[in-house]
Amino acid sequence: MTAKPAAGAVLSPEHVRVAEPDRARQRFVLLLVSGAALLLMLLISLSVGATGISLDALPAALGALFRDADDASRRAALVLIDIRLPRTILAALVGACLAVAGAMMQGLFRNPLADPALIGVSSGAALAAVTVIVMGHSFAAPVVAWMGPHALPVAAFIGGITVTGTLVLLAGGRRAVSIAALLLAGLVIGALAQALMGLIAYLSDDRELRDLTLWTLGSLAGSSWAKVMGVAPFALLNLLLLPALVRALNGLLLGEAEAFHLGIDVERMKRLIIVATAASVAAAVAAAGIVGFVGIIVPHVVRLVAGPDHATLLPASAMLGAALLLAADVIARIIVAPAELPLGIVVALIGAPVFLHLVLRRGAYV
Amino acid sequence: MFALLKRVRRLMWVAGFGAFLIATGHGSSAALADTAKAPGEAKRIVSIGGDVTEIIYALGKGDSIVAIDTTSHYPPEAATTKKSVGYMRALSTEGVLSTNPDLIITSGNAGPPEVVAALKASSIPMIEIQTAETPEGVARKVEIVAEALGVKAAGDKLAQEVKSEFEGVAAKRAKVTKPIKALFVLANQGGRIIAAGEKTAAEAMFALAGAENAVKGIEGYKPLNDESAVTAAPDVIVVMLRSDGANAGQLVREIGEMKGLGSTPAAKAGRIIEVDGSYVLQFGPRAASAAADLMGRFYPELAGKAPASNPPAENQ
Amino acid sequence: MSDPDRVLSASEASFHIGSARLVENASLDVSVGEVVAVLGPNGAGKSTLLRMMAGELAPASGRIVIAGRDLAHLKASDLARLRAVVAQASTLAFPFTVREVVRLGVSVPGLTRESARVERAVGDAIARVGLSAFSGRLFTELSGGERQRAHIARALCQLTVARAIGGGGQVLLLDEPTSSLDIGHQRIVLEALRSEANAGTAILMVMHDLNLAAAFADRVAIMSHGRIIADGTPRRAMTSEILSRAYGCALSVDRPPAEGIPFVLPAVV
Repeated sequence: MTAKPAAGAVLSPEHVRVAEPDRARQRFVLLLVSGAALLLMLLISLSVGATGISLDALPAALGALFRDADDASRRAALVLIDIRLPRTILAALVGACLAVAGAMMQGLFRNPLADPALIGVSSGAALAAVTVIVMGHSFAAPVVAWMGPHALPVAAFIGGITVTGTLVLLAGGRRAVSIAALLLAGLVIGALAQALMGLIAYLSDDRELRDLTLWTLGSLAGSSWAKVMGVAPFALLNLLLLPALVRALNGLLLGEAEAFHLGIDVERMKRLIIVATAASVAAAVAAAGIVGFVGIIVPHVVRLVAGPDHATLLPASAMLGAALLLAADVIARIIVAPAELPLGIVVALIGAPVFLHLVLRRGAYV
Repeated sequence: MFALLKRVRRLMWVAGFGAFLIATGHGSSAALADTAKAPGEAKRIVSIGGDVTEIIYALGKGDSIVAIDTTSHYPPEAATTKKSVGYMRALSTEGVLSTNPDLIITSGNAGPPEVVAALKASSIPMIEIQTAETPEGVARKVEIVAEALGVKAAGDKLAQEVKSEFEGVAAKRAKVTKPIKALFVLANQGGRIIAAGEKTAAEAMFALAGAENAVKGIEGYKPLNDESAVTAAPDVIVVMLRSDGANAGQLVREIGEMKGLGSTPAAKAGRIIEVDGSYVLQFGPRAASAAADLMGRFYPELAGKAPASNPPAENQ
Repeated sequence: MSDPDRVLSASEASFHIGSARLVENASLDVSVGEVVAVLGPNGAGKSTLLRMMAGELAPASGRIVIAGRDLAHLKASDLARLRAVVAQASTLAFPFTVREVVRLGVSVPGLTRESARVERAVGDAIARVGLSAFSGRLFTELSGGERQRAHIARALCQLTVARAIGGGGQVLLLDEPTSSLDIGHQRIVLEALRSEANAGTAILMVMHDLNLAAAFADRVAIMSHGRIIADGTPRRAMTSEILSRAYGCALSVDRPPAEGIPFVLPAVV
């Protein structure tokens, strides 16, 4: 390694040397642990629920799909295949999307506290959702009547990507997207959305107010195969895109000019990152409401363990984010069964102590 | 460890069937629909909505309830002996199903919509009741529940009782010559009053009790500022207690100290009435007696008076 | 281009922001193995010219040619195989280790990240700037000088790999690479740059230390108010008259007879 130590040996004394982290090993261990955690949580999520039906009933449940079966098998089929399976898949997809989106936004904004709210996707989705909740009985009634339970998620998705699209146009138009302008425009749009939501909340009645409060706390109670089909394309597309973004995100950590020097098409990559994030987060929010925190803590924990290299950060965040949301959802639905806690609350309650413990033990680096 | 491996194997099974399951996802529930039981045999009822729970108990079928929601406060034994499926707008499909119900009855406000849709798609009969907040609406609600429980005779009887009770209330109301202005306070949020405006259950109840809602021009339950409180100038203030009565006296004291509400005729005359929210606002079988109680406290002077010649101007 | 040795050239290049003319009709070229220093007072347009020639800023008029091709038509990824850049002040948002920062320089498409050859190139580059003992340290914990050297190592590494893929003739552009270095590390870095030049790389760097530039550069270009007012060997270009005009103050240039390299001192009035 030391090809020409002649001069350097004098000026780089050995006493400053620290053990070099074995990133390959860290990466391997982290991905293995994340994968195992995800698999375990998938199994637990499918096995646990208010009805007490466990995976043991799966063969009977599958049998009930094809031929006449007794009531117990039909019930097992209903619970395992129509309720828990879509819910489990949705929890994993939403968790993965939110964690990855957090990691990408932190890379793009070069700030460990950045989250998708900065590109307006959450406020756009929330504004649209709140509008549907409150106006769904009055002047948006025909749309809601036509789309039924799909009205809210579809509106939230469209709202999210519309606001982000507007922001990108404001911050750059056809020219370069300025991150500083994006940040400022994002703050303004966020405040505007907040104000409009306040206005709508004011106009709402007691029941609608309760609904929109519950929506902002997040829940996967309304999971269905239809929702899985709605979210999966965006989530999977985003996950498949990740390998192509690793180099750009790593380079952007040095700065935009430096990333360009390294051969990264910065403008194209920025737009790609923003579009992928907006689409996947809008889909996640549409399916589960507002679930905060995942996008901040999961990437942070991964960086503490294996450093900021996105080649590790993105896949590990995806798996751990999915595992965290599955764990939170399992707790949400069994702790007060047959009732259910809002998901966002549980994520914060289990996420915050773990996060604090890690940060205090390992030391924050920013 | 072996158990886990067993589960892993099963999971792989699931993965293999994934595509098929997605394609046929709704088939399994649709196939179950034919097992719906005829009404009348329900032994395991999930009752969602305080009014529904009250009606079921009043019909003597309380023992058939397996679970209620968090808005079911009456009778008190319901809240202590039955499982809770949570708040009626935040139900969980599996949570409701886990109580193994053979009948789900909800007042029209159950949610979220996806869960209600999933429950409807299951084999379990489900009845949603949405009736007006009027004497006829309450009677109709009783009849629908009774029919679902297969106790039509008892239902007709109870509905008739409710109707005649309301008629009694109407007769008394006819004696009111000058309706007083009443203001309903839902809560005090750090000095900010949440009051009942137009098109609320509270306003409907005021109308039944022969009073006029002091709050005009606002729909729903909204914050009311000091000036609007002074303008409303209620003759009587009705405040809502928690269903366990834990905050008795608190709102009365707080309102007395407020700049706006404290200066209204009601506060000056000490006419602040505490009521149980579920009793007054849920429009269950006790709605008529709630109206009668309210009227008694609105018009203590009416007791024993002869009927007035002019019927009172009713709200809307 | 007529002279095949000229790997990077700006001809009549200008850059304006509003009415401010930061660079005006600048023509400058660098040839294979040559070290060219751009000198001039603060605000003369040195960094702007460097950033134009790095492809970072598009000239308002004139053109930049790298390896015989118009720079405006090159994709970022193609450009990265032709030139490496060390910017003036680079921060890092998250704590990469020194090795990881240097490895960013080799993430050129077409090479597997973890290959032994890449790791060797990374290690060599780190050693060349005297950072071997620091390769495991977190970048965010380094001193300013150590960070500067890490960035230089990253650029050297990028060039090594680019050379391995596409043959020689690369350009290295640096903006004040020695500004936060002590005299010992200045020497190490300049030695590394000289050996890079000897390997065929054309080097263009903005410098502030006139004496260091005089001693090290093959050629200097002196800028004032956005224009290049002199371009030539240090002996020819660095005269008291030109330097005094450029910097707007009286400067005296000494020439120690032994070497003949200009030695500049502010003239004491």
